[in-house]
Amino acid sequence: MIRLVALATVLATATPALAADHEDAQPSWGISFRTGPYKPSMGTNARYYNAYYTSPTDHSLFKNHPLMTEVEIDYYILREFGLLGPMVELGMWGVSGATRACVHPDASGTPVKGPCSSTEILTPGVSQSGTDSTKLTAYPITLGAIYKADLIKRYTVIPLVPYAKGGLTWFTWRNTVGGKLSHYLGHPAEGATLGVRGTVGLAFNLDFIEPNAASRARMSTGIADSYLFGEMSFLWVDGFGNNKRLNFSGQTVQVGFAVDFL
Amino acid sequence: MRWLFVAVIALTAAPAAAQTYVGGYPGLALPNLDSPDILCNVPTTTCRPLNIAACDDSAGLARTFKVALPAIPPNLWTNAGASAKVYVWLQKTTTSPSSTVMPICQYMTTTTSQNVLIATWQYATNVWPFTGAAAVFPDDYNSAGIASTPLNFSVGDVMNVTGVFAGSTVMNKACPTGASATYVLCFGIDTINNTSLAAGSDSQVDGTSNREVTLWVQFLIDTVPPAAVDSVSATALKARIEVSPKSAGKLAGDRWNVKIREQLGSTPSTAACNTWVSTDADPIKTATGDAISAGSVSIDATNGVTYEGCVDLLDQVGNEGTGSASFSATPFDQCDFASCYPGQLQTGFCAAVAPVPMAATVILLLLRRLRRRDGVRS
Repeated sequence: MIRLVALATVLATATPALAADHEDAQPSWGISFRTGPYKPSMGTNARYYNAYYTSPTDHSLFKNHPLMTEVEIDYYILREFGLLGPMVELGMWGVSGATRACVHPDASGTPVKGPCSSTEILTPGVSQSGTDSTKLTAYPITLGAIYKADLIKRYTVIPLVPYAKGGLTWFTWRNTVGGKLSHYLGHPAEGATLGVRGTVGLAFNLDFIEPNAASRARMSTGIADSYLFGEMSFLWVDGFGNNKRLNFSGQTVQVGFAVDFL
Repeated sequence: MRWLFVAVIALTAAPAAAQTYVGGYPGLALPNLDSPDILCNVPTTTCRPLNIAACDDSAGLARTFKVALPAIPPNLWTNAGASAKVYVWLQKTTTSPSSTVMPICQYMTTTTSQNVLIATWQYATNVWPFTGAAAVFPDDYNSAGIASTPLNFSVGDVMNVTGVFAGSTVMNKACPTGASATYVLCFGIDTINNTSLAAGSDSQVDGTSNREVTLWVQFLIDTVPPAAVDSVSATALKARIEVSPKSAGKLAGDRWNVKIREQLGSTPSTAACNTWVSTDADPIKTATGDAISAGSVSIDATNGVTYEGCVDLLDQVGNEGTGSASFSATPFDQCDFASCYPGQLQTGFCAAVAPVPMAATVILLLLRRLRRRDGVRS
């Protein structure tokens, strides 16, 4: 096994030397930006989440599925049979809603507005929208590996690159009310949930649109390839079955732009 | 330039004034304009602005000018000669105080600009105040017995400056309201031929081409109140109240000034909020926000307590406009996503990554085992 790894390493490091010509050199790293709608499942607390952050009557774009925007950096270690290497993704996502309030009688029997029990929030028609705003924000970080099957692009005229990637995902989150960090049983409402993420996608190489410009960019700026892409991610982010963590599992379809560098 | 000076305008109760700058010529080291003692804007707590409040002639509240003058080394006076004179005069300008545009202190017999002589004295007769030690004008000037009538140089006196070379009369006049202007209080050393260190006097101080020694304090006095608040609405939120005022006459630099206090009766007070007095039993809470960019101002409050409040405008020098009508609001506790979360919710970041070191340990153990096996084979 060690011999196999050594052989692969030698092949990878030898690639630039073998391909002295820039035209044949393979990219060594890449960066991409993407965005797409996302809604966490929240597991057994999905209805509770919906009470705050989902509007059944507001169908405006991305209201109930806000955009998750991410940046990704790839480093290609193996480049002979496609591009394979580690990657890191950093993202941001947030959803806004209104607080919930319930009316209860005070000591004198006068109805006054106040907080609800979780049962009241989940019971239709009992709680009502409060006067304040609340916001849940998440910052997903993913460490993993990516494989880009760019052999089709290399050896045919078809400018498509299918790819797959996956890794460990860490969703840090915070919840605010009126712009200030809210609290859960006296603790600041911020935390993190660990999980895994898998993605498949298809990238459309843009070099064929202007081959000469692409060639010049390759020679002068080191830009090997540029892509428009679409991908679908599957997230299992529930603390590996820990139901005390916020469940950010879900799917998202994202589109974006990527550049690979020599 | 070690021998001259930083001049600091000071008021009787607190140093400096709003939008005040100092400097001097020729070749004098300029003061540090970032110093809060010199550059006094309204948010700076170390100074008080020259506004309507500065004109309060109530007992003990009237503000008079004092200018702190660092020592001028004796060699300057020696060179100036026994007949050199000191002039103190006031110039009224149309330009706003600026940290970059320096005023020119000019006291000429032919001048037509608005300036008023405040005091003058001859060096040989009255060595004070500049030799050897720092001094305060006019306090030390008065105590030195230079003037027959002690100066009491109030904000109102400055605002009543008119005419050309009005003489040395000190006015103690009442402060007019609704006026705004920039003034420069100049100190100059007059020598015979308008060069900086030639001996003698020609009864004028040239601050331009042949600059004689001058120092100055430039300041804005503004007694124009901001516009009234036309209407206001208040929304009771979770542990805070959001106030949304409107004013057709608001200007750039104006700030909303929101005040709330616990409502003791069943209806809010009708008294104008700029007359409210904060007490230990009923403290006033305030919050401000930019009147141009902020459509509302949020102020922290206690859930379940009914507050009365109102809002007015504050301008850049702290003048307060006419307040709005009173409002009443009772913040109340509400559920946000975290505070009423059903079941248990683990917060914090570190515990979430506990599986990572566990997984890393497992991987390391596997690798170690593989290496041992490879070692045995080889």
